[in-house]
Amino acid sequence: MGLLLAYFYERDQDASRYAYYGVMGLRHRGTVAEAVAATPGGGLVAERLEPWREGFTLPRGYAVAAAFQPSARLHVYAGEAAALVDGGCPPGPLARAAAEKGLREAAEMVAGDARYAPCAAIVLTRSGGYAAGRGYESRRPLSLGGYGFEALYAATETAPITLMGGRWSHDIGAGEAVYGDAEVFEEVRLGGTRRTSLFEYIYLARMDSFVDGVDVYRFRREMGARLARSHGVEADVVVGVPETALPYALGYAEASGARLELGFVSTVGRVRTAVAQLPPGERARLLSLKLNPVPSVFEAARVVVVDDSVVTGLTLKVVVQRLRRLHGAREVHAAVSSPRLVRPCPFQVQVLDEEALVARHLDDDEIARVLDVDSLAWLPLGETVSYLSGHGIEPCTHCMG
Amino acid sequence: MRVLLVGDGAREHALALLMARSSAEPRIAALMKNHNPGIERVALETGGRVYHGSPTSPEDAVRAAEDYGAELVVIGPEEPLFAGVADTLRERGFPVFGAGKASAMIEMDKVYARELMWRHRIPGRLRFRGFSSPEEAAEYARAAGDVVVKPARQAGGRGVRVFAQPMEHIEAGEAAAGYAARLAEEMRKRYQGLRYTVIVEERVDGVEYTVPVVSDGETVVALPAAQDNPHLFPYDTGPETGGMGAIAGPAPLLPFLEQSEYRETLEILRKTLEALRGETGEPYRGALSGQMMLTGLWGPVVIEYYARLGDPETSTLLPLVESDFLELLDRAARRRLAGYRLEAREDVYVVVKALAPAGYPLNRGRARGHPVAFDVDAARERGCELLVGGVTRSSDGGFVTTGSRVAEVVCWSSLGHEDASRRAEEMIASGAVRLLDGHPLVHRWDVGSGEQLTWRMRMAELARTSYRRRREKGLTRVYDWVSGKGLIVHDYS
Repeated sequence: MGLLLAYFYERDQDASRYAYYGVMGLRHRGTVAEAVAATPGGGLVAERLEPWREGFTLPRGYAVAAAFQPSARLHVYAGEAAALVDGGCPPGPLARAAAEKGLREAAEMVAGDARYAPCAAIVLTRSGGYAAGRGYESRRPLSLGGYGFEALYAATETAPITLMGGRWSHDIGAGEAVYGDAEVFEEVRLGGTRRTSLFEYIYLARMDSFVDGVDVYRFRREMGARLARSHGVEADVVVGVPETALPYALGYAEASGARLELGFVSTVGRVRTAVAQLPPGERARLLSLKLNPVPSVFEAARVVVVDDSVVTGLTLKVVVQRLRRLHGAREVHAAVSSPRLVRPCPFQVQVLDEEALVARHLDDDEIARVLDVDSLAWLPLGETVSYLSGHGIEPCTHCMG
Repeated sequence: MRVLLVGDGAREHALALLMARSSAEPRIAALMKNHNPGIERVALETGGRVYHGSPTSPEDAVRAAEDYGAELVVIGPEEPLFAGVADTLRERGFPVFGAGKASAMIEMDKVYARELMWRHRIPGRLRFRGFSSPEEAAEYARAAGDVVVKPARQAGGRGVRVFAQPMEHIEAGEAAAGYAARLAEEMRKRYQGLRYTVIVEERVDGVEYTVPVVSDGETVVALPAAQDNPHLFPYDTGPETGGMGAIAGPAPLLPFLEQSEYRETLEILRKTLEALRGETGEPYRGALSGQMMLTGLWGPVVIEYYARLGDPETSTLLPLVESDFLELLDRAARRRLAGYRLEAREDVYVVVKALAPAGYPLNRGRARGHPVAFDVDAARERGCELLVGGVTRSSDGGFVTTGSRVAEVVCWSSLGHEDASRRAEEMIASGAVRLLDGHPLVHRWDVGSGEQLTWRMRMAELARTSYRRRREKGLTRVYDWVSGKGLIVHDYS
């Protein structure tokens, strides 16, 4: 669900030392990734890695690229060229084009070929060239940056660029690709529409990132405020479900006038329950360890619980039950900082099971009854779209409705 | 007036054009190693001529000046200054625009420049250490953390590596140490008799800009600020170069530089000139440029000095300067600058873009020897100027690249930098400069673009918030605490 590139201009440099921290900066996106390095001897070395595992390693070389599964995939063609493609498009044809026709053709293919329209891609060649670009209706963002005079960086969001010591300096537009090596830097601009996944802003990206030029933290705070206005309930306390929902809760509290409290303590550190692929029983166990309530926050209070998304509703249901059963909350209102999730993503940005999406099968009254909340509000889809269109983005909202 | 111009790059082409406008009706001769057709053309049009020789050879310079009967010698690049060309010419009685060897140390020897700043408490200082041995340089760089490692001698703007930390997780120490040792070896092989080979400085972040002044030893005349773009590639990526483009205007400021910051920079340059005068005993007759950075730490900070005008910054002066530029250089050379007023247009936005053959700067062998064609007149018809740079005459009478930047395109507009940048792009796309064998030319389309200016203004604003806060609180010290050594105070006042 993300891409990374660290490309050093001089071949005596070891890009993997830097890319290691870039991979860590993307691992909230998944548990399995593939990486490839261009070596000074003129080869391409690919490896699969599990970036949550202690002491994971990357292949060494002056250029390293990584792709996070499932939406992003790596293909190495005949040892000549590697293509890493995010958004469910097949990497094979791109790798082959880079190997057989060259970087310019590969860059044009990413920016202009219908097969890559929704995607973003990075290419590395054995001879030391790179390309990075987005399709003309790209759902998948890609930002560029530099590390001093030494390296070019690219990543799906900007935090990994800063974690690698670099400075973010450009967002690749739709239908745009750059390519080059240590000697040239070229750009292909075929034009297109930035259809950047709304899911990035709502949930996927880190809040210390910019995604396609939009400040994720500000977006979330502002959406929290708009959610409060559309919800319109009287409450004493607002709590956010950590981690993603916290900036929304902040915005919600500010707009509603209710006080923000820190409601939960995690016993297992920062685990993204949606990213961890677990059986249902294990997930429930993890949830209860992750969300232990702070008792005095809830006693006799009218509480708004802000959660970042509702898939099956399980997280929220567990939380609400506890607040009512053990902590004496007077009212519990649910504010979901995402529009309703009703479809799986054809670009594999999320891989949720259609059958598991509660908002697809039940109406709001039914969901409220299942969750046992006094009211239920979703972030209005129109608010997210109008905010992002103000930044030149027509977000992809396919999975939401 | 008979003027001898020393040097053969795009900067000297710009200087030739600036001087040629003078009411003194100069006849401009040029001393060149590479046969630059742009400079030759100005020489011939003004009734001057071309001398072949080495700009860094005092003998060649004296020979040309004597033969020509030069009434003024103008030296463009730094290497002739380091070689003492200005001193030798002055000894022979020629009025020279160009710093003496002792004064040019301010550029040649980075350690000297930093020492001078600390000795005289000139504002805009950075902490530094100079090294002669690779082992010592490595040892220090390993522990120093957040550093920039540079050659201690001016090396054509190459060899600077930044080692990132606050990113302590990246273990920049080891990388910095390895590089410092390698660079020290390389410098020792390349230059004889260096006091120091490597300088390690504290790393700062911010927006870079250049402010040049002209001095006659007493009076200082300020020129407009410009911003150079040292990265080879767009979006501030790519290897370090001598400069791939510049913007300037509305004079004397830049969109991201405020009047007070410009004035402070001038003050830094004035104090530097006074200090140099005190230490060398000689009047500084030439240009001094501050390659500056607006930092969150102290505001304007000196990254390095140039003992001359910058390239490509000089090119921005073409549309900006309204006064008689030759008169400025001549009066500086003769120590009669008092009373000179520089008039610069305040309604013009300038964009300069350099073109370089692929291979520059990391692999100059691949950038060298490509046949090149120019269309200077087409540029003028579009209201721009084309300056010829790293080009020389080939054995068959045509022109080939020398491996450096080939040419600079200078465009300007009253509408803004974006408009000037667009026009420069059109000119480049029209093939005003072409390599006839199809070898690629590299240039930066982002110089002067709206996207670039927005970034620069944002960075400048961040720096401003931070350094102004420091000043309001009267903070002039930085404290380190090293276990076992205790509190270390760095006083920048």
